[in-house]
Amino acid sequence: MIGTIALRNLLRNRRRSLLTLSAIGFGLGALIFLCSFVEGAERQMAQNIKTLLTGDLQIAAPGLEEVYNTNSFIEEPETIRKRLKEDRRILSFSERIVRGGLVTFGDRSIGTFLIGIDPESEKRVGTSRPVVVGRGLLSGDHQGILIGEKLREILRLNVGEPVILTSQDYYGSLGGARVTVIGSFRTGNDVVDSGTVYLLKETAQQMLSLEGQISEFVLKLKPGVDPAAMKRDLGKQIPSDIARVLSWEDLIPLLAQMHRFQEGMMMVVLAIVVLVVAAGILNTLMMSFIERIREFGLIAALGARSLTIGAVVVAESALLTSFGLLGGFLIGWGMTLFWGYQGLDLSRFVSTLSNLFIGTRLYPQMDWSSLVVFAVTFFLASLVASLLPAWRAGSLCPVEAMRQTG
Amino acid sequence: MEALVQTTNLTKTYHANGLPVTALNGVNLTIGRAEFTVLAGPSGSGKSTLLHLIGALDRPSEGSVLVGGQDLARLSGRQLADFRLREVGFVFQAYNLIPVLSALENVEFTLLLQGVKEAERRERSLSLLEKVGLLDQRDKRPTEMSGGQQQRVAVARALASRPAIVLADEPTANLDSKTGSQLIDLFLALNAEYQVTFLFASHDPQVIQRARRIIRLKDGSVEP
Repeated sequence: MIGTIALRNLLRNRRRSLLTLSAIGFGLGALIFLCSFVEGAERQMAQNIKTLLTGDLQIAAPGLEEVYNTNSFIEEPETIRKRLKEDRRILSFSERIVRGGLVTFGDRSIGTFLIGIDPESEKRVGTSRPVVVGRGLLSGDHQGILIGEKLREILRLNVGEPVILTSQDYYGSLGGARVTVIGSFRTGNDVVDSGTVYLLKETAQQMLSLEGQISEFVLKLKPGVDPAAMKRDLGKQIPSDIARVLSWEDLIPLLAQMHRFQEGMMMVVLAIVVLVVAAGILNTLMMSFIERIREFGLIAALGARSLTIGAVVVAESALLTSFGLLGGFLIGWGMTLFWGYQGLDLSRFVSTLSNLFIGTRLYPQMDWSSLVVFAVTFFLASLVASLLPAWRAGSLCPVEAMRQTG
Repeated sequence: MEALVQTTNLTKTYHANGLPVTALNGVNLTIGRAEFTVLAGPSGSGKSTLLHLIGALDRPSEGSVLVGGQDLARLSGRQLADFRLREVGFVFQAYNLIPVLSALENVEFTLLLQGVKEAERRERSLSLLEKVGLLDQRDKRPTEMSGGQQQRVAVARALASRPAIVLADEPTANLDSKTGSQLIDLFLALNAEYQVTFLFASHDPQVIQRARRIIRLKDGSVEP
């Protein structure tokens, strides 16, 4: 009957209950949608980073995860290669050479990353970069390079024009090659687009005297394989002085930090919304308490214990929050479903977003684990908010309460 | 007759605007089981205060109240709530019912607090509503009933928990004389049927005339 009394009391002042419900519902709905928005952006960012640059996981020479250190190589890649071929969780892998170098066109030079790849293997691991001018690298392009569009613009290069690549080779001598630009790509990230040159792995190995050596393996995992678990497992198998297993978060720590910062921000937003909602619930319950002091006095006079009377107030709060949570979930889920299907056009922010590897159309996605955190937090906050009015209702002196005229 | 209520030197002092106001001043009285007694006296004579102290709604400043041998002064807050639940039935002047519950649910309320099972709860409540002539009104909320009907529901609720004593504070004050008379008839019938002690606080001549015992109070003391 406590539930019945609580429910009917909520229905007694429908407008006030509805206002509180709205605060809970819209607060939670907005939080869910915001979280879905961030989740969608992060998933898109992670997916784009994996597709454009890193693959699902990398096994890289020690120190290569430090962006400016490109002097490390895996001396004996065969052992790792054999292990990767035997591992059934790996769909495919490719091998790369990564080295800092200089690209020179006429009297203009610029420092870049030289990345030697095997186009066929790259296709199998699902990594590619959208070509905007010319064409992509093919297996036979021993003298061809694909460069970032921004780099092409800076050097004022055209497809078909020759450039000089130079870099320190394995023995410390200056290695170089005269190559031709066959195309340019655009990832949207200015750093990548202005500082990366792709060439064939064989060409890079020859130029840098790295026959038989590589810088990193790029892995494509089978669907359903958890990259984090895979990383831990491979990390145990491969000695860290030979190579390190790295995720995109390790390779691009700035974006990973941003990801964590966003999670922190979500918690701050959650705290603010929860505080506002809790204040709303407290206000509703206190108003209701003040209006019903005589009624609580009557219930106490009839023999209800303090805990029972307090439970009526807590039950009202719990019911109010439950309905609010349901409404909030429907609002947030509905918005996420709609915009997740339609996509949100963010082309106005294209420059900022593309640098974060996020496209111009963003598809929010539900983050169910956050939803559980939100629901539990809202519920706990509502219970905490109900404690004061519950305590006051439970500790009323029946005679004095029944004398109240309010 | 076996004593149900015994007060000894019962005193209650309130503080109003920082000044002590004595509502009851050393009241000694005994009320037997199944009595039908009225506390009579003008407003401010201490009738309601005495009723509240006997009903464990308030604590005395001095003296003691024994109900069924239990010294109420020795009971904790929780024990007092249990005492009210099991030993006392209340009928107040106004604002008697829980507004969000129907007549039947109001009667059932104390039984629910007592932990009586649903089937028995329902049966006892319906039977009492029938006794007070409101079976057909069982689903109505207090606001849908007249003042007399509400008081009769309160009577049914007061008896539902099978208390030792029913305390009624000015039960006819808000009723017209005909309805008030009918309510007294009901009290008398139930007193006879259930052998429950009834103690009223009232200055309604109708109630005073039909009471079997009258205790007159004046300025917080029992008149000789």
